[in-house]
Amino acid sequence: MPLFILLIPYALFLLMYVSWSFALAYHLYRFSFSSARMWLVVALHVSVSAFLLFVSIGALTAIDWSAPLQLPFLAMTSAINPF
Amino acid sequence: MMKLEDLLHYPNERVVYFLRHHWIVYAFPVALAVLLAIIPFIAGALLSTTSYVLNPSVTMAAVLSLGLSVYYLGIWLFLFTTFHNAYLDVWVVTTHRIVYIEQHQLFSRTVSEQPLSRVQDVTSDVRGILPTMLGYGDILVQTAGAVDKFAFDTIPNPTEVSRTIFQLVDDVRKREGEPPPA
Repeated sequence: MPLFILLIPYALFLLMYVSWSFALAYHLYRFSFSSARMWLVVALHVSVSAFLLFVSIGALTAIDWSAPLQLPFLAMTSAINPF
Repeated sequence: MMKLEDLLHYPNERVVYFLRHHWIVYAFPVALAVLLAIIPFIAGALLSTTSYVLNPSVTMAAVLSLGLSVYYLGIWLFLFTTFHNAYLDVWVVTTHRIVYIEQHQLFSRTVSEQPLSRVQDVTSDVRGILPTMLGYGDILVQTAGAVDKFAFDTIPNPTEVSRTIFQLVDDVRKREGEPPPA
């Protein structure tokens, strides 16, 4: 099974993230009283989200997604060999 | 976008207070988010000091990268949602009415209003060291309407606000020629 299968739930999460953010921003715009603070927070949310996505994409592009999925991947090995 | 003027229905009605939660309501989730954000760094530092290492594999690198991305985006979305829910809670005290707009969650809000003539009792409550030092607390307004209680949760200067509401109720009663409640 190729590794890129892990990207499917991640893409679903991103879709949920964008939809939820959009709904919150729309709700703030629709129901808040005119305020510069509201715009500031929406701009901050978009900027930080873009930064987090930028960093994530940077880390994810370094991975070979065509490699096979290895399970279990959390096996631990001793760094010190007593023998 | 809503306008304050849209809330005014009576002639000569004006807004006396436009209240939102005290900033402490935002401070607790921000502190929690900061704490959650540094946990992976602490875990990484702790793992590097142990004599065991995780098997370095492409799968682990992928899972860690995706997991951390979801983790930090989740924290940020939690903060934005918390801000949204608290920021849209609004109390408006006018010379004639009290309007309370409560945002429960996304797509769930309640707007209730009571004329000041129906107000029976106003109680301010500042309880604890932090509320006393930072000047925030609650106000409970008892009314004779269908909604018999109005709670102003975690607002700044509750004592001053409750005193003003009481004064406004008194003014309304004088204006309408009603005797004060016994």
